[in-house]
Amino acid sequence: MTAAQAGVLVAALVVSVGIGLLARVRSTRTALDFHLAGRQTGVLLNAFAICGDYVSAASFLGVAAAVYAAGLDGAWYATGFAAGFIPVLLFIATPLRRFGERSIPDFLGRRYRSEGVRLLAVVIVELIILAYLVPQAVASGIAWELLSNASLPGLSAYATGIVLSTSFTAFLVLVGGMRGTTWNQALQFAVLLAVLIWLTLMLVAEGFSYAETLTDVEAQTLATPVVNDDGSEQLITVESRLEGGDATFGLPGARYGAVGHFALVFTLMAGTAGLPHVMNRFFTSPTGRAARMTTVWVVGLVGVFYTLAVMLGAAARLEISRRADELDWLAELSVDGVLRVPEHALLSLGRLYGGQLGLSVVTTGALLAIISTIGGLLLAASASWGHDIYERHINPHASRAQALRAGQVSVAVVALIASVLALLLDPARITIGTPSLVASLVTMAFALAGSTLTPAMILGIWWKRSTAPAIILGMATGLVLALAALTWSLADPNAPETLQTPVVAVGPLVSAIIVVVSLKTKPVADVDEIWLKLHGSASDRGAERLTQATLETTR
Amino acid sequence: MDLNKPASTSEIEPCIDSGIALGGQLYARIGDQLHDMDLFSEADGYASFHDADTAAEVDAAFRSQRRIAIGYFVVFLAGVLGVALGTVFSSWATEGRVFGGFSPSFLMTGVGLYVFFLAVGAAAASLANGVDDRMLGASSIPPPKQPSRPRQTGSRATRSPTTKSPTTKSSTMGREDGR
Repeated sequence: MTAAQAGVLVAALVVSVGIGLLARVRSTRTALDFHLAGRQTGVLLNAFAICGDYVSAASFLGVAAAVYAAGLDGAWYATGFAAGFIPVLLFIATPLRRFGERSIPDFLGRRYRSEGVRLLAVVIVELIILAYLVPQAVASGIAWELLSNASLPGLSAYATGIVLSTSFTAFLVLVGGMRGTTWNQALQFAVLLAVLIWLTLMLVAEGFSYAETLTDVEAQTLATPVVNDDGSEQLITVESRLEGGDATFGLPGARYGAVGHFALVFTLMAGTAGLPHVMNRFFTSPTGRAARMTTVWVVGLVGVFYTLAVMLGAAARLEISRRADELDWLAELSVDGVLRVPEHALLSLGRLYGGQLGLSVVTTGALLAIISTIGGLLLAASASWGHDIYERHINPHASRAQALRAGQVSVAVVALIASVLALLLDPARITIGTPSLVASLVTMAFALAGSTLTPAMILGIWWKRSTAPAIILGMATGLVLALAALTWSLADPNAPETLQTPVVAVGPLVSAIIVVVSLKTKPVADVDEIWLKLHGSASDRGAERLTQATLETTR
Repeated sequence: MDLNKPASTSEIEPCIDSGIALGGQLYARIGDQLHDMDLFSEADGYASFHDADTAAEVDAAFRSQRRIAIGYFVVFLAGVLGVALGTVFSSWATEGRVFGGFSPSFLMTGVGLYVFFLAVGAAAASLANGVDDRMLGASSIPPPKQPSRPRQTGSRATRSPTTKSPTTKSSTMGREDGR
């Protein structure tokens, strides 16, 4: 690691710690502060924070990697990620906030007046969080390995990256709680966006033209490096899953057939609404209307982000193949001009256009993306364990300090579990036929969420007749089917492509189960009261009036 | 700003957004304190701090919001599926050239769909906010009068107090975390 690289990284980390410390005075007073920042996060701040939470390594490194490796099929990853916020905006954000609560299990438990629903939701939330956390940790290992070969005693550089990123983030979360994490996530997303804009400007300064680049790369045959038995490496061309023959950058089929294409988009779209770390952020909005407008901003911001990420993935395809022969460091990372690890695409682009400083800027951006997402995930895990399990079941009479401590302990435990799981994975050894390992692992979290929590939440918000037994049966069925499909897809490289994105089949089935069982069971007695909270705006008006009164008083 | 001069609408409105956050904070803090002091039981919640909607108002608003949500979702789905179907089944979408060299499919996947998402989201949110303003809160208790202050403009501030109809408190359910 050069002095410039170390300087950029240390500066970013010092700012993050500073924000956490500044927030500490107010953020850890109560469990409500720790988990939800006192429900006072403004629209724009929350929108940036949600983007920081959502734009993980899978988006920052993974989308460009997916485009680099799979061309047009890779671009659909970004579309699916961005599309997910429209159902959130239309169906979930405002009622979810108006109902209040602290977490998805808390929301579902109170909506259905069922501790069974709450407990099952906690299990699902924790599985989703782990499925999302592990790829973040894997990505931190990849980024650290590329940035520096420095390692802790007894650990590889990859393992060092994992241990440092998860322990640092856990420390940040413990220090700053939700308020500190909010400011950190917002700032980190601003940095990520700035990094992409900077890379774009560097490209443009060198005469880059998006349209011309696409014209140049669209006919390129896609190929993947493989290691032979004798240790030598060669490129294997990717076969098109749509029309047979060689897959090319500009045509669909490199990764998905016709059904797989829709299954991917549907899974990412439906899964977003069930991601606990993202949905928890809506509880920090002061009102339902603020949550709605926050989502509109999020749609715009992620749109800009993914537009740039897709473009840079295409640029990397052209530039890396052109210059791999000229540059030793690039030749080391690639086989005949194709990167061994597609996640190196954006990082390589940074070094191509900014030298060591450019690499350190992009790597620091990647680490910030990872840290911000890990932070949100740890807080979501903490809210579920601390509030839904500890406060509700283990110690219902917990004092503030005890509840806060329970949340903090769960942050440390979940960080430890995620680190251990990530250490067991090594991206260099794992090939699951994916355009991007990180993006594919994250897709599994979306698959779990879309198969379980999303149908339960949408029906709970929009259908009075839905009942607790139906939700339990539906979510349990969705969980079992999604886990079975994902396990099969991991175990068998020749498994049908849709097994990695099962929501397109499991989601409607779960919804049908919920509807049928609901019609045969009784809804909660006070569903009309629940409806007033979900769809009335009284609490919004209360907050707005208090605001006006406050403004009047302070003027 | 001259503090003795009545504030104009343009001066006030920029404050509202940050003010909402401030209000939310106070709202949560006060509720939290009261909860800790056991002045309200969990069943009572913070009823005193809540406005109220009638069941009929909420039901009507809910139906309108559902129509908006489903309607815009259909538009959104049609857009996404249209581009996806075009990508998979239309050779023009992947081999044609527009705007200096983009294939229509890459142009839509890489740029166009994000613009479409924002347009759909902004339009739906605007309509949903309008429904909230028009259909909810008509039976609310008006805020205390501030005789020495000019009234703000805007749908909420200018809504005339209407005859009170029987209301159902929206806060009789358990509240334990100041929302």
